[in-house]
Amino acid sequence: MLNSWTVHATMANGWVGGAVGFQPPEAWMPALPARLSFVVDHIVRKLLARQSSAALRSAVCRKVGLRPDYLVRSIRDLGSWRLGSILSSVLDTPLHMTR
Amino acid sequence: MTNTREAVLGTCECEGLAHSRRAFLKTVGTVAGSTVLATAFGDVFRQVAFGAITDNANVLVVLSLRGGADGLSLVVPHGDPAYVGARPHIALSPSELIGNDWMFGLHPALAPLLPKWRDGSFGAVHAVGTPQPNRSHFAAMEAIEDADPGSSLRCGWVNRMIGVIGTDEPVEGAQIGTSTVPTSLFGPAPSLSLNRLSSLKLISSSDPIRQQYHRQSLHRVWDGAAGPLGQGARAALTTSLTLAPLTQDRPPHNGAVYPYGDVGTAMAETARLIRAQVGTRVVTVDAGGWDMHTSLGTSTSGAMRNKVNELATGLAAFFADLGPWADRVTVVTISEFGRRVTENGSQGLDHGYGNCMLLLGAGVIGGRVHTRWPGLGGKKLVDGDLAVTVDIRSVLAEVLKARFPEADLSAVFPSFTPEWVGAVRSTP
Repeated sequence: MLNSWTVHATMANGWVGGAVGFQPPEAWMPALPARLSFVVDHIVRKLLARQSSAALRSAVCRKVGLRPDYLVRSIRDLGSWRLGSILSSVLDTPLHMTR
Repeated sequence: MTNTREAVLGTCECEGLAHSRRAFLKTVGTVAGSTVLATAFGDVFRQVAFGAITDNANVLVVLSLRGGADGLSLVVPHGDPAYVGARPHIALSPSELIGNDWMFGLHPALAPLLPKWRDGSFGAVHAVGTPQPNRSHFAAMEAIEDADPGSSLRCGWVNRMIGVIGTDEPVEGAQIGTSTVPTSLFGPAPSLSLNRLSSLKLISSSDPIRQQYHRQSLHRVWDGAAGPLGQGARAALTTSLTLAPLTQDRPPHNGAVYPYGDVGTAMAETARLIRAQVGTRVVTVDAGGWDMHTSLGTSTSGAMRNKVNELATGLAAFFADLGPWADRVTVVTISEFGRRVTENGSQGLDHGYGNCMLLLGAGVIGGRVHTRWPGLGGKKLVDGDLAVTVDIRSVLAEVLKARFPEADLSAVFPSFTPEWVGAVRSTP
């Protein structure tokens, strides 16, 4: 499990070299402004093709230290690290690891 | 809608700092909703955070010499008249051996362990193996690690032992050297397999508050998750916290110097794990490279000399590093099979049958070879191999009976009645 979570963090944060390509951060985002819980649900749908539960959204928001009703006006509001953290957090959940 | 300070930091911005480690662990344990986990967290708190409670539990280290180590080179039957003739190029003469009696002597590269042989804490059992010959590395290793012939259950003897004596804390059964779980650890009791202790951590920010948020986030999604994956996630969270102090490399104690390489690394990590007193009861260590079909070598050079030297210096350093903890640690070596009695055309040895086991540390009746020696003469061999007169389970059962009296041997080795070997005594 620890190794899986490490892989998720490595991939989601782009800590890989070589020819691996990543889409621009903006491509993960819904139309802004939006609440963080909505952003998380949007990312869950893009990554897992599933809708998220309130518990999952709560957990992901906890990971990045923000409340679900935090208003994301632009991607800059997430700082330099939170998008990668959201992506890895979604991948760390049972919704992804048991699908 | 505004982003207040509370919204940014959560309802309790210093949640991770205001709680003591004890309170945090209790909180996590409660969230987990499991008596087993809560108990384990309690152990974690006592042993790691405060260290006030001494854990006097005995520890078994199973060192697996993968590839089929040649027992006739490790513990040499120089007194058997057929020995030299079977190995004209690779036989060791009595004058090269150490710790000799009239029949056996140790490979000279075991010299770092000679003091332990002489003080009686290092012994050997010879002509030991599985009930039936099996020259396949994988099938033979699985038979030894499963130790329940005929059973279709995928459950190894170490896991069955943990199931009998354990509390479901994965640190109780640990495999070091590879992150692949060996057959002996397969089964319902949780276990831990890792390359290095330093890899056993949750990759996270260096910021302690963000680390707390990360853990809390994972607990929120995994504490209620059912099935083996949920158990594994909770165990990973528990264990990574338990062993957090061990994830930073520290020098060995008592001036111990480990050999460079995997064996030295694994033994050093094992010593740290035991010294940390996190509840470890059984550690299995894989040490490959014993499959020597060609150029086995002599007493002073070659593959066998190098592997034996690595093994001996690693074990000597391990016991020195353990210091006072050595009094409750027993090391047992196993290997899937021995090698052929007769050397092949490449001055190596092909897969055989009977082998030897080395026993070191607490409870061992050492300084001698325990065996019902079958002999190396033609009619005494099994298809050209050393016969097995001692079932490996008898040796393991004797170790468990002496060092883990709470273990139900009939559960660890089902449908097996151990024979007396006389290699281990019960000690406090």
